[in-house]
Amino acid sequence: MLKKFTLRNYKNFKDEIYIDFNNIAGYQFSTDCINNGIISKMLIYGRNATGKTNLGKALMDIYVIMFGGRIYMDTGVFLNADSKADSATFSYEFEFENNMLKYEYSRFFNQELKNEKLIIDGKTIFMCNFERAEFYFDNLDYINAETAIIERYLQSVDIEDDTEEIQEPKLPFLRWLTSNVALNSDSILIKLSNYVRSMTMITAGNMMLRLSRRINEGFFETLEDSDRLKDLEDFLNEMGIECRLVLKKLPDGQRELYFLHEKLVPFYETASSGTLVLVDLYRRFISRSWTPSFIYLDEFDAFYHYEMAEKVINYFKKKYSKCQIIMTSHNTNLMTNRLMRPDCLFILSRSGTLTALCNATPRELREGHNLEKMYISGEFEKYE
Amino acid sequence: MNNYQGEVRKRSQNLLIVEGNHEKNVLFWLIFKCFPEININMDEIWIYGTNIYQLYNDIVKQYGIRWAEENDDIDLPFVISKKQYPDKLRYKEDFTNIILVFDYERHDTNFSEQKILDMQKHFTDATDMGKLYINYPMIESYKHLCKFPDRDYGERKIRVSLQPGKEYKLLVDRETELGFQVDFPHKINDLLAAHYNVNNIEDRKKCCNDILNISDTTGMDDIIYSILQDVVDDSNVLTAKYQLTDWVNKQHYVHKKQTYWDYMRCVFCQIILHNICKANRIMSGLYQIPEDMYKECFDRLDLTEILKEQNLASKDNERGFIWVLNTCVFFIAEYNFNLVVDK
Repeated sequence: MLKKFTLRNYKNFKDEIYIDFNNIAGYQFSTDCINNGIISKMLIYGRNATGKTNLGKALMDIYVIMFGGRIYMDTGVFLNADSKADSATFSYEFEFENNMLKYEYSRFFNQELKNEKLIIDGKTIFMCNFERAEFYFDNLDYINAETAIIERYLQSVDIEDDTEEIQEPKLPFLRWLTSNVALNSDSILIKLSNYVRSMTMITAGNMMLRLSRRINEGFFETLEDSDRLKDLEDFLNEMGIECRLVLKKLPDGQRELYFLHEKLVPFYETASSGTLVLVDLYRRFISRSWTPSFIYLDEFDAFYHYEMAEKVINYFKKKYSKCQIIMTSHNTNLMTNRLMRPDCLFILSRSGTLTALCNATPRELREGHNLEKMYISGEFEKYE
Repeated sequence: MNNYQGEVRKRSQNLLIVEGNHEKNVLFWLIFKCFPEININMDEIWIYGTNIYQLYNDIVKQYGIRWAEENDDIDLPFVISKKQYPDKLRYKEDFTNIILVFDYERHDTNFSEQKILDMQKHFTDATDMGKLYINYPMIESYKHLCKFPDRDYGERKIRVSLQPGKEYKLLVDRETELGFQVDFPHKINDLLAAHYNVNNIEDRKKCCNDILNISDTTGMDDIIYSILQDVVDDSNVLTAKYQLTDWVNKQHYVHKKQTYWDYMRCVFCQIILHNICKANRIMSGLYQIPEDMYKECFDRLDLTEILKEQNLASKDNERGFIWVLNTCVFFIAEYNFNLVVDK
């Protein structure tokens, strides 16, 4: 589980901002937002342009470090535009079966690694400073990785190389280590790797849902199984979209999804924004048999009726009870103790601070309080 | 200059609905001074003077006679502004605290058990519709402690026939341990105004505040002199210094190295705890509560049940009685119980 995430000098976050999943209050309600003493369902509010999406991107940065690839690769200005510091710093603290793991690194404006450090149970396992070419690998034996042939790695990041060729980005040692050393299946690095691999982020704003026919082809294929089509239909109906679906195979071999009426109505051309987002959610999570470890659902309910938003949260709570889910929203109707709790509801401020409602007022928040009304009337004004 | 700006919305407002001057000028003023964490500035608070039956009628006017049965979501800032300033309506969405404080007033010709119960049942949340605190028999009950701790407070009641309110006030003044302490800031204020011609209200406020912030007798006369020298005439400043030094010296708090505010904060905590015990006495017969049970007892308190008990006890005009109980001090405990128990 991710216990704490700390970030500095990344995009709009000039000063340090952190999410402490460990910091819970003793509420006796909405206990399904907590798992093993750690926040597992978090809902973040904030005015426009306070960085809710950026925070999600920052959290996903470790995925890029450990697995590369372009999915979560950042585009645009990476460092804070008002800061003089030359790099952005990321720090992740995990707990895996009573072992504490802390992984910290900094990246320059061009996203090159500046340094990285791994600490397990308070012991520094390795430390790389790529800028000054200083490396420390003395405690690899603590994670049974002493067989790693460090020289190989050092060759690959040899910074003396000043040829004109386009340099490969620095390979993070953590990534090299997990892919080049035979680790035990119960190794903490394998656990870390599994966790990070199962992290994901969904942003409502930038999805090109109507154009994703090719992506949908695989999805449609699964829907040929009538039980699975029925399952999608049930899901939509349960969430509040009343419809009947049918899948047809066209003469050219392509499949097409339709709403079932007297005449068939093509699904993707006509479905409402809310329906499209919901089906995308279904395609990415529910239809796949995988267990996400962490999901960042950015503005997840931007197109939802308030009742549907609530149903989706309840569904995710039940289906992914152990998964750490951070949602962002502008829908204050969800700011209720019936669904969430004051230590799991957060406000991201214009100045880049993230504060749980229970810490955003000297007032003792109780189960009966109408949090939405309090938020709107300015109870947490100082932290907005 | 651009013209994009619409009407600016002002949030975080506070509304205090009270009956008389004592509630706003003395009690709540002192509460907000002693508990700055509550973060309500008395100068910025909207105070509306009315009585509970008038307010009831105002609600009926906007929401109909069946508002209580139908559980209407009553917007008091709207109800009051509609009546007072129909051109400048205000809404509860902009208010973080709505507090209603009324006397029980059994002898009021408008008294109605049903209306007062309706009000008590519905106004239960200061952060939402508002919270009603009824004081028995009157606001002055917060001073009705004869010593600390006051074991007799548990059985303290007054006859229904003790009226009008003036009679009860006299009784409290005779028996209270707290009168002089509560009045002290106002005494200083009045002295500066009447005898030393400090006519500017802001100057006087600052003077009082600075004097009440003194927490040590050493060098006290010099400090008081420096507080006074800019606002009191040269011819009077020495006399004023001697008099005020004498006054402050006679107070216990300054010898305990406390400021007046710190001291009164402790006094309020005592008042609250006494009234929690008393409320428990009324509800379940038990006055003495172990210290670690205060919060639990407080959470269990039900102001509607208490009102029903009081209605029952005071039904008979001859033999009936009213339990002395102050509930409006519970606002502090409700805001955050740690304010009451933290040393």
